[in-house]
Amino acid sequence: MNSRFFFQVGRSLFYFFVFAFCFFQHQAAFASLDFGGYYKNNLIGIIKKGGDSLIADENKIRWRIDLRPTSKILLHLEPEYATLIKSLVVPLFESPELDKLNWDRLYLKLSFPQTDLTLGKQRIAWGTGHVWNPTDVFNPFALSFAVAEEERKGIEAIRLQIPYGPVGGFEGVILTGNEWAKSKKGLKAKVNIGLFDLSASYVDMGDGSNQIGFDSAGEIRGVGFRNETALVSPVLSSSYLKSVLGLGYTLDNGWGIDFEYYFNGLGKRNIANYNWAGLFAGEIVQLGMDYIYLGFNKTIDEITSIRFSLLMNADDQTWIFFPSYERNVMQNVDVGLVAMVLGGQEGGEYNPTFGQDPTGFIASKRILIKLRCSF
Amino acid sequence: MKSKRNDQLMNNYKISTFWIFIIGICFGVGGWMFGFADKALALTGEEIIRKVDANMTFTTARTESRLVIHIGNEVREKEMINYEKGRDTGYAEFLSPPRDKGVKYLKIADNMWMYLPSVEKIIKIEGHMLRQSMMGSDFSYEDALESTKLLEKYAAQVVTEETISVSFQKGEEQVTKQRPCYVIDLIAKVKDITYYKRRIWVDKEVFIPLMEELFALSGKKLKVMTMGDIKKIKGRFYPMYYTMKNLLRSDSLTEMFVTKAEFDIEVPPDTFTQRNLK
Repeated sequence: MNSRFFFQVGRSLFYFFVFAFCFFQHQAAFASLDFGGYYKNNLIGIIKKGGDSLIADENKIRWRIDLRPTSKILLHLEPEYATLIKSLVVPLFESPELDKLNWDRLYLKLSFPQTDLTLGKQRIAWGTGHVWNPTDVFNPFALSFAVAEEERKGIEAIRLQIPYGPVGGFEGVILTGNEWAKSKKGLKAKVNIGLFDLSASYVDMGDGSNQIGFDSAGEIRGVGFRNETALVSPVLSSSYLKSVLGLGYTLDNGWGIDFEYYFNGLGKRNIANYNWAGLFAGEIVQLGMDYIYLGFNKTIDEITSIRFSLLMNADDQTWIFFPSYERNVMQNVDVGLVAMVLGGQEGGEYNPTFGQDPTGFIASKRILIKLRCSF
Repeated sequence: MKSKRNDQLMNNYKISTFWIFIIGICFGVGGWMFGFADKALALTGEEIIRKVDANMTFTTARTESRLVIHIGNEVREKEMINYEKGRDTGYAEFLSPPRDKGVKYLKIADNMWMYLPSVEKIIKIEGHMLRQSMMGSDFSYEDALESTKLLEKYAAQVVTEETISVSFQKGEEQVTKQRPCYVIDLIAKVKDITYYKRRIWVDKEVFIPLMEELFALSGKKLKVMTMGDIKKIKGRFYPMYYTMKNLLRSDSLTEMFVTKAEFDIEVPPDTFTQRNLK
């Protein structure tokens, strides 16, 4: 208790002194203030498995503010305000903090000659996978229907980055708010060899478990190749592997093909052994062991793009089909039409029975009309 | 008397024929010699491409540009700033519009990375993605990544010489000039390449490519690029206006106006690093 108290007091004092230093030292030499952001509206229609339908409308405004007292100091703020009008409770948003100002990202970045230090609420995005990121453990982003990756909530952390050469470097991260032994902390080293980016990482989860990770991204004979693997060693159970293998190619006619295979060592191949309780409790994200993603995308013209995505649990052959159409209708206005259809064997992950999912939401059909205005 | 005169005429004729023959030989040999000399002085395709590279390659460069993307009747504009070191190291940052502001690119040799400020993430543009449109323009990432290694991937051959009409926008004014050019075909040495054949029109006086057609292995024409508004900067020639037309898309054209260009300047050492992307 004492060590946690002192850790938190120390952290608060540290933040205070850094802010005070920046404010008083450089307020006279104020260099730049960048202000931007966006407003978005998502109109969502849902038909639940039983046939019930509902409609919801999300409005969100998000600002991005970069304050640079000098070229070596950056204060980055991303406050947002969101409202949701709905005809029923919609479990689509990740703990939305509605009807109030939410400081999603708020950090101070200090650049020293050989180091960058970032303090505060930030996004730490590790890994090279496009759909699954087993090494992204600090504030992981899970592919979702209604939440874009950029809206993934920031996490309070101290991050030290030491570049080595133009591309390589070392990185240390510790999540704040807990005593040292219980804090999640990680180290990562990155290097570029030929056409490949390679990195290795180690994360102490703070609960006695740890994770060793490796990722790569590059190309082999013109085909994009990426891999991301994590070996997780929990305290009470045996170690397991999570691994992603991704391939990508763009044809002469402009169609891009994206493929990913995900091996989830924590999942089960037999449908009877699925851990539904763990899924609803948020302890696990996937039920199965083998997953496949196949995506086709094409930029029709400079302002219009279409994408067809199929995500499949290869163990129970249930799937999510995710077509989308997006168009930049004005210089700073984008609209999109997205649908989501789930199907496959009843009782599987993406087509559960009412016994497995009494809400009927998982296997619901959804349609989303998106509007986004940047400023 | 008559026969004597005939003999004299005959002799004169023989002498004339002899001299005509000699003169003819002289002209023939001379012509052959001049032709030979002309051929000896002519540049090969490889030499011309090397001269283009020498002209277009700067130790360091900083440019500010405006991209104007035409899609039918619609127009999108983007502003960017670009740093280059040689032709295989570069850094680009989009300054506007707001939806693209802060997107940055880093190119080192055959590697390219993109930084997305919205997710604060650096993404490697892998081989296949290089073929995709860069920021919604007719340029692909691969077009932007192009380096001096053209001659490593292609065999160059002069096809012909011709005068072409070069048009470019200078302020509000449309300027058209007639320029004599070498026409060069570049044929890929390998088959697994986006543009198997490239036909380039190189200005004979300033060694700047004024037009380029890009073809797939099937022979299908994929893109047409033009350059114009050539300016002499620090003793070299540099195009301040580019267009790119992706023929796989209907009714689209991207214009690039270089609004400011500085060459052989001091560039901060961290510019071409991933650290500078974040």
